[in-house]
Amino acid sequence: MKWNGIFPRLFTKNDISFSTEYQNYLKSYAAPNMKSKIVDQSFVVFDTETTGFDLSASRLLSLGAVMVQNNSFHINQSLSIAFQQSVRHTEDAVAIHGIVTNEQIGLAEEEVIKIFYDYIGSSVIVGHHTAFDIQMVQYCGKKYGFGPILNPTLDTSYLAKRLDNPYNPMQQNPKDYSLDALCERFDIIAKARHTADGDAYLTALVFMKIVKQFELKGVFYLKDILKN
Amino acid sequence: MKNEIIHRVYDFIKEFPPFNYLTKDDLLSIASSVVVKYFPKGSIVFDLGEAPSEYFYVVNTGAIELLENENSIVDVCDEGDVFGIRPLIAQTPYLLKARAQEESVIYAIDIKTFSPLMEKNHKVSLYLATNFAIGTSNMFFKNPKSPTSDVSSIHTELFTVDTSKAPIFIDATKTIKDAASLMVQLNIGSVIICDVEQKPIGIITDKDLRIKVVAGNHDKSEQVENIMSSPVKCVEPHRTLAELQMKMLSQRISHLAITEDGTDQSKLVAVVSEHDLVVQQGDNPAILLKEIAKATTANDLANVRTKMTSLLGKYLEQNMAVSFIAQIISELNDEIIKKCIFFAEEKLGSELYKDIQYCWLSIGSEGRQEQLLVTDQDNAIIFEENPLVPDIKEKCLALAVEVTAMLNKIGYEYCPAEMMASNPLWCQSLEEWKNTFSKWMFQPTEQDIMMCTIFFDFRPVYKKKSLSADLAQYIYSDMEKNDVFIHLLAKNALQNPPPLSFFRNLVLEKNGEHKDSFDIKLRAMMPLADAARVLILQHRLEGENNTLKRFKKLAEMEHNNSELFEMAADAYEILMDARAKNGLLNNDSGRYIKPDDMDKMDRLMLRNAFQPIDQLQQILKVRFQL
Repeated sequence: MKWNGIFPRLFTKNDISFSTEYQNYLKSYAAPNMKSKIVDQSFVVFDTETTGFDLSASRLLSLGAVMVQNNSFHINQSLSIAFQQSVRHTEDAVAIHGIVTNEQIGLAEEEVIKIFYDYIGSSVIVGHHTAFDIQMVQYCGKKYGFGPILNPTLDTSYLAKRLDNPYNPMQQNPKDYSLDALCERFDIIAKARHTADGDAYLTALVFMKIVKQFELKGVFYLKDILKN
Repeated sequence: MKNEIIHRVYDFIKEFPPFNYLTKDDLLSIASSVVVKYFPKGSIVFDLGEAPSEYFYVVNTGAIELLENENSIVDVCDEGDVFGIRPLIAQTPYLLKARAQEESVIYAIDIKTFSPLMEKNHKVSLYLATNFAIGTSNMFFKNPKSPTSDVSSIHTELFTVDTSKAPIFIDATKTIKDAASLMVQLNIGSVIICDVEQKPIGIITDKDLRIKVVAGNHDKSEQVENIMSSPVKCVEPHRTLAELQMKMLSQRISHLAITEDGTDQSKLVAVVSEHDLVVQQGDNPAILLKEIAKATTANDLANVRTKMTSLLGKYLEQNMAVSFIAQIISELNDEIIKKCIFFAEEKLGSELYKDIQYCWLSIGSEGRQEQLLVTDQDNAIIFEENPLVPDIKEKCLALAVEVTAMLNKIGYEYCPAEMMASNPLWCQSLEEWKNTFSKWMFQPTEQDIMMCTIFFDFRPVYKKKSLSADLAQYIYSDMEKNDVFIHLLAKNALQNPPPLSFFRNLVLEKNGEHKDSFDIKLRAMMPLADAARVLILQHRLEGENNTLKRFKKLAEMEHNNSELFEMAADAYEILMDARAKNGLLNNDSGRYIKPDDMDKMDRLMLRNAFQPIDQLQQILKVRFQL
């Protein structure tokens, strides 16, 4: 099998004992048709909350996702899941997310990973600084026999930068492209920030509005935003 | 874990009607049925003639315009507004096109989730009926016919008479002694007499026993029939206490028989006394009437007036029909005025006034019996010339000075425009009044026309009421001779155009103390009251002062416009209600409303209430060629 995944370095050729669920995911996965219109494509907009930003030392706390298609998303088809916790969180996460330690509710990591891989199917994955979230999920999934996520991904922060500076997006000031800044820019009331599901909801709105901006610039097709 | 996505929707919709009437659990289930939809500027939510989807919509952010065709915007929905629901329920195609006026995010709500909640919640269905004509052909919130139809069951229990117990009555064949012993035994002040079929034929009260038996010439061994009063006033079952109270108040009786069909030709079901009502209701008009009667100082009356305000608040809270409340308040106001006149005569020397024939008039809104809150006094005096009595006018003026001062002390402030009986201009003999009105009607200045609108709604309150009737008679016969006057009156009624600037925005005061508030009296109530007056005068209908009743009368007389007049009556009622609530809230006359203080439902009702104004003014323009 040839890995076209986003972070192949996480996996080596020896990682081949994949779970049934991951194999099912691989079987049913079909890469999106790059010629289709952006609005017609199904996107999973997701976000996670973690105990820190260090991949190996941090743990997932919660995961939220909505499925966007045709400029809309169904609330009852969204994900809002807490991970069962037993290890004490690092202090900085508590400071940022306001999450306290003694939560015993939520699903086991393995369950969440299964649900998530099933949920993303063949959708394009969208998130704000989504690379980190994807890495976290893959890192965690590895423990349960889940391999890399094949779905193409889009980062709303990067898309917004590209919108403003198509040729040198990375020259933009990152501060202007935080989720808060984008919400303000697109008139989205940013309430309950720093919960995974709340941020997924906001990111979905930001994403739909960014897509519209691309359309206004004549960018209609998936290939145009997926090809960096 | 709290689902932030569902809560985000929940937190939003819970702020807006009709969702704010639902429980948290219901709202959470609605919220989870929502589809969040993004509409770029100019995109179409649904199109004219399209079959309805399974969803109706709430604007989350942005604005959606509803169009009849490409260029005519019917309405603009912004944050929290619901749209596209009627076709779903009526199962008809969309009659309007919905387009995003700005970039918008809207929540589509699954009708299947919503319908059952709507059906089980009275307020929700009422709201939808009010705003989307769902389930009713009437766009207006109907003030409940029975004052309790909109209060919780706890209130309903308090407000109906218990008819489960067997009624107390006595056979017509029994003796007076039997009746008296029964009354003593049960400790009641009266007893109903029934025939063999248990139909009420009369009533005996303590008073009858005192006057007719103890002090009179009837013997206690006679049959009760001989001393009973008849017929007995009857009402049908299931009347609310408030209605019963009103009936007792207006007929000056203290007992009512409840019979199967409301007449004395059917079986007695229950007897209700004033006392029963008092026990059940505490603060009530009957008690206040008694307090007025017993008052010995203006301070006593001021206390009653304070209680009237709390009574008003209670009634409004229970959504009682405003027409009914206004009648009670007006009745009580009249009694207070009478008492003040009585005090004033006593103070100045009753002897001086026993030969003077005069009539105390209420004018303006008090004359129309539309006063709910304590406002300025508006009154006048008509007296009869009598060569045998010296200085009639001076005496009447002296009296009026006393009365108005007392009323002022009680809380009815002096009229800033001096439209009071204490002003020599408004304390005139019948002949002088006739001349005044003739002058107003035949050579009117603009000022005169305005005077007319105030004085035309005069109503006799106390003393010789025939003087008032004579004056009215004169005015109407004068009007027959003169078409110009009614035209001017019609023109005056057009002075204040409907108060909507653009679809949904109220015309607010631009300057002065009341900047940014809405003058509900000038901009909404006066145009309606003025239109009603002109139209009723055009029909030469005498003796109907009340704006609501005028519109109801007009609806009866003009079949092709009856719907509009009914609407106008409803609108006026809504406005009176809104003004009174605002007045109670701010402890003032309620005239200036801050739109921000109102909840969305009240704002919408108010907005609907303005619609008849424009149509009425169109009628006036056509009819009087203005």
